[in-house]
Amino acid sequence: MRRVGFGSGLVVGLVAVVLLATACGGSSGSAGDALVDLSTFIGGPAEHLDPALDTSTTGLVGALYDGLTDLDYSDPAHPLVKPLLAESFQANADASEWTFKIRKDMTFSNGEQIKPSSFVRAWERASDPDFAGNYSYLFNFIEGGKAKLDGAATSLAGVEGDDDSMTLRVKLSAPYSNFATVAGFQLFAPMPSAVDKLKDQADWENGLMIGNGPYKLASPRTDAEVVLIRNDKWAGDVNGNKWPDRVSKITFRVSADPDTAYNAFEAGEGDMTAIPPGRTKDAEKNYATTSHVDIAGVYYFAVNQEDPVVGGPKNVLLRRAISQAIDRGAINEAIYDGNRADATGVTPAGIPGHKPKLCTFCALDRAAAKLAFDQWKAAGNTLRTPLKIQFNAGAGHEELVQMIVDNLKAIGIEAEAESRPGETYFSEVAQGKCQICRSGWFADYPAYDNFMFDLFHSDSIGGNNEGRYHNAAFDGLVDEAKRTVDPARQAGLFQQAEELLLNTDMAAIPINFYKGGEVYNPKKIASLPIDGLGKVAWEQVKLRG
Amino acid sequence: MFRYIVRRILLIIPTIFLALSFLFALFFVLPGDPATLMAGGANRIVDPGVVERINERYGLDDPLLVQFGDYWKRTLQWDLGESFQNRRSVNDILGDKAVNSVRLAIWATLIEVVFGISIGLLSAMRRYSISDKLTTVVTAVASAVPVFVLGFLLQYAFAVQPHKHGWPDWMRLRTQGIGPNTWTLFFIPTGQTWRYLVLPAVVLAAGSTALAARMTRGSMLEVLGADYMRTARAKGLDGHQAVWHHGLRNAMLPVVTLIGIDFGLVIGAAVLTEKTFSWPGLGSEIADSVISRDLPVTMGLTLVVVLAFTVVNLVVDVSYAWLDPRIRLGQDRNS
Amino acid sequence: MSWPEDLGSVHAVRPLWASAWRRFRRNKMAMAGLAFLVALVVAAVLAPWITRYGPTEGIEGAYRQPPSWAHPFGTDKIGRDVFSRVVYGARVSLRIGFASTVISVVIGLLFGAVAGFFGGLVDTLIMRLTDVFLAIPYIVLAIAIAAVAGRSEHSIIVVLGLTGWLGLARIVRASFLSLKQLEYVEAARAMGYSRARIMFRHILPNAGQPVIVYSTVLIGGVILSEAALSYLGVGPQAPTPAWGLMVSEGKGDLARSAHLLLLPGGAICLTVLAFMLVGDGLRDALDPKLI
Repeated sequence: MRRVGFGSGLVVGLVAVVLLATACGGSSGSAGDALVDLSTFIGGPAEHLDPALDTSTTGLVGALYDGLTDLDYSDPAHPLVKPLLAESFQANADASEWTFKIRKDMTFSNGEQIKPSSFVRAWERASDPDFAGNYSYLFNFIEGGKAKLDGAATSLAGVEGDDDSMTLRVKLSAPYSNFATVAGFQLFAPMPSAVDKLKDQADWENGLMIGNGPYKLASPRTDAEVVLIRNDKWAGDVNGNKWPDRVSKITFRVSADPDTAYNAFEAGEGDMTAIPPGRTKDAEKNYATTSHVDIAGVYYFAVNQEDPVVGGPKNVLLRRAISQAIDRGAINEAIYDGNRADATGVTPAGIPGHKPKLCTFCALDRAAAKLAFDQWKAAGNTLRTPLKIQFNAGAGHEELVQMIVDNLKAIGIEAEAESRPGETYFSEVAQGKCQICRSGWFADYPAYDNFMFDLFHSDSIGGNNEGRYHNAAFDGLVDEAKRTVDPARQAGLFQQAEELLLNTDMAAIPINFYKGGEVYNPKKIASLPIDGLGKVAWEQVKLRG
Repeated sequence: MFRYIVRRILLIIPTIFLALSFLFALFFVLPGDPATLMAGGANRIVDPGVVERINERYGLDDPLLVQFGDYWKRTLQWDLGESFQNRRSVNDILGDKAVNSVRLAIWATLIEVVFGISIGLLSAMRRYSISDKLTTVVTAVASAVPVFVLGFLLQYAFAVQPHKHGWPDWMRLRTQGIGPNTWTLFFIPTGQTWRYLVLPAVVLAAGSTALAARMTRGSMLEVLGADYMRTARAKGLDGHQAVWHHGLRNAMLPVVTLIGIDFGLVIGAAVLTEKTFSWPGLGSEIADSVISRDLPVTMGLTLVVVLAFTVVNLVVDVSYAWLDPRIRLGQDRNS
Repeated sequence: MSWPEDLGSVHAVRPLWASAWRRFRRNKMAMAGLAFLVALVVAAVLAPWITRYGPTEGIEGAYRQPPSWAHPFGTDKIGRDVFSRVVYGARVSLRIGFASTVISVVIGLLFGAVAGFFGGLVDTLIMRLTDVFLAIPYIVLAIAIAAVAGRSEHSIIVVLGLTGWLGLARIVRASFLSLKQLEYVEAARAMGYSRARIMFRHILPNAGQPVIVYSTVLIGGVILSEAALSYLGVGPQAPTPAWGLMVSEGKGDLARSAHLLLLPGGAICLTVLAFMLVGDGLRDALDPKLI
């Protein structure tokens, strides 16, 4: 679960200026062989390198660890889950039990073989309540995961690794057809036996952490930088491609301010960086960017369904009017400098099963909006006080909300922006204390249910179902989809659910989808592929010359 | 004199105790549940189980007084704990950051001393001349520009533009970070490190240099107008001799005090400069830790900042008292 | 030193003010600063009449326009008129500057006067307290207070007011320490006046000059601090047209829409400069020794 807190840039929490160069890179001066600046932004989460703890979106940890599966984005519109450390994976009929066959030729960067027990070790470690990080709740998917996290059990009941037959069996707490995707998430990456010798697991990421990804740490991280070098024992990606010419050294430099990082990039101190808010056009004009790539995040407003004025079935027309009154294109231009795509649903492109143009009422149509508003009023409703649009202060949402207020005013709906302290905003929203609540969601793993279940299922009320949307038909569709192993049938069910959510109930108002946010120096970098989650595929980066 | 020093040293203890206790108390009145924020609650809704485990791990559920007692017990053993955010030991963080902060502070202070005092003296000696007015305006402008704006303008002028126009490498400065981080005798940058040091040091020094210049000017003018200077002139000493022999020492007293206090302050308060140039120092780390409610980092780093400040202050006060006996006597009479 | 020895010093200082004003007027730079400030205050008061748009009013389609006849300072990224925002921003900045300085002065005077007048244990306690607050990096206090009090204009005033009094307390204390030993205070004491009366009627007016000078400069400092807090994300909240907020939002726009950074930045710089020049002028004018 990753809430997008800083509106103007998804990754702004941890932005990266990147200085990429090979040993033979040949640039002069101190920037000689060097590379990527990982910059932490004030108020953002402190960065971790340990896959059990990391919550950032830099893709740095992804370069260090590989998981059981990975997404193949060769066709960006139809990403496929493929086995990576696993030879194959298989679910039983209702997707409640999963069997992963582990490849025999896989090793950590120190030569230690990766076995099913490496996963058991890693999972037990990451679900140890004394150590567990902010993503540890994902172990709730696994049988006994909750008991382990609560301290009621000492091991994960549902996990069984057999090194002799190289099989890893996982029993889930409930049927879940996308578990193969989740199993590829970094939290579930294997760990070498070295972690058993640590006195304190927190020391792992501060030392010379051993992993199994295309890169390994060159030296323990410092406050100023993290340096990665090639891991020559890496066995390749999902398609068996070992990217033999991959960059040999990547330096992530810590930068406290995205604008400084951009200045550093422009001054030739780095080869790439995250585009600061509002500078996309500038970056596109002068350099090369990843801003054409769709990534799986959505910026939306949850509408409180328990609110008497905007919520519930009787106010569908008002919600529709609001949605159709919003000029998403102008917002994208003015605030994001065009670095977003107007939302056509809540589930973004890059998610398997995504359906383009799903939402019927998500495009600007002032006449229709006005009509819907009039019909709503004709049904005996009145807007006694201005609508309140709540947002978390200081995270760059003020201007967007202001534009929406202006948009609504244009069709005669009075609304006002109400900023709330960021420290308590999300806790209040989780308790239903808002009317039209700004929100954003960035997929953790590319699965349709990461949007439908986490954001709108009635089981998520009190959590991320911020609008407290509750529709039994919707719940039924989502539950069935989660049990359905066949991808096409599953996608159909999810799309049906989303159509119900938006086209019938208009329970949320999507604004835009995210796009890639890196700028790079085209004289140095020939290509910079990013995946559907916005993470740089470091092994695939190609340099010129 | 000895009594005075001992008394001042003893007074450091309650100062530090109060400062840290105050911060500790403040932490718990800040809105937002610390554990929720640690779990990332400022950006998303977090899992209640995760919050519970954080509370357990750091004892944030204990009664305040218990936590307070624990804090002081550990602090007295110089165990500063671990960061809530990244679980690094605070002593390690401190080791990294303090060095960077002190180096930057030394260079900013050197700039302040050299430029502040000389500009101030020149402008005092040519009072109301064009150059005096010009320096007044320039120094005032330097201290009237927000630090980060000055920082961005300088980055643009000395790093971005030179690169875009292909100026030779030796003319280019760096915008962010500490570079290769190689130093001789602790504070002299070697290799390419100076390129990284120049801009932050200048920006950090800008405001205080202007202030030191204005103070030097004012204090010099005051001294020049004082009775003993008139006497000196009456004795037949010409203007310049009188300035150098009699005035300077007296005029410099307040300026030196100011610079001393500045040095103590910028070690922990260079937040904006550190952020603008990604110079990994104490100030910005403290600021970040307050925002993310990383209590052990806030407390541990502030402890050192407060210590540094009070010690520097003590040294300044003692030397001041030594130079100007009236203060020492006055203090003793009050006690 | 030539302190007025008349007991009714409140009345006696009047001629002093008149001559101070004469001296101040001769200082061209200080007068320029004063003129700028007067113009600024007038503009702030008349803001609704001299601007064509509201400070938070977005003009559809007019995004990021450079300065033009219609928009002399251009428009910002969501189409708000920057001139209107800067003029209304003068209200915000001046309010923050004056109000928080008043808080600082009140606290500083009170603590400084009490410490300097009573001396002894009281003095030690108060001075240690100022040490405590000086020692804690003020930005930390500011972030913390802003987090508690929220990010409104009022809380910024409180934050800056509560962190700005330390220098003032020291100055006032120093003046009191030297003044209380002068003959006229001894005389007042001999006449049996109450301590409060002596403190506030007899000593304070004479300790006031450095306070006036210091607080004039402090107003400028406060306006700068507002920018610093905004940069750190704990200043006033958008869409408040506060200069510091506008500058920190515009810091990335140097290459593309430089007016978003330079115009509000220039407003801050000129205003702070003006307060400094006026402060300088006041110091010279109030302290005849220098002439």
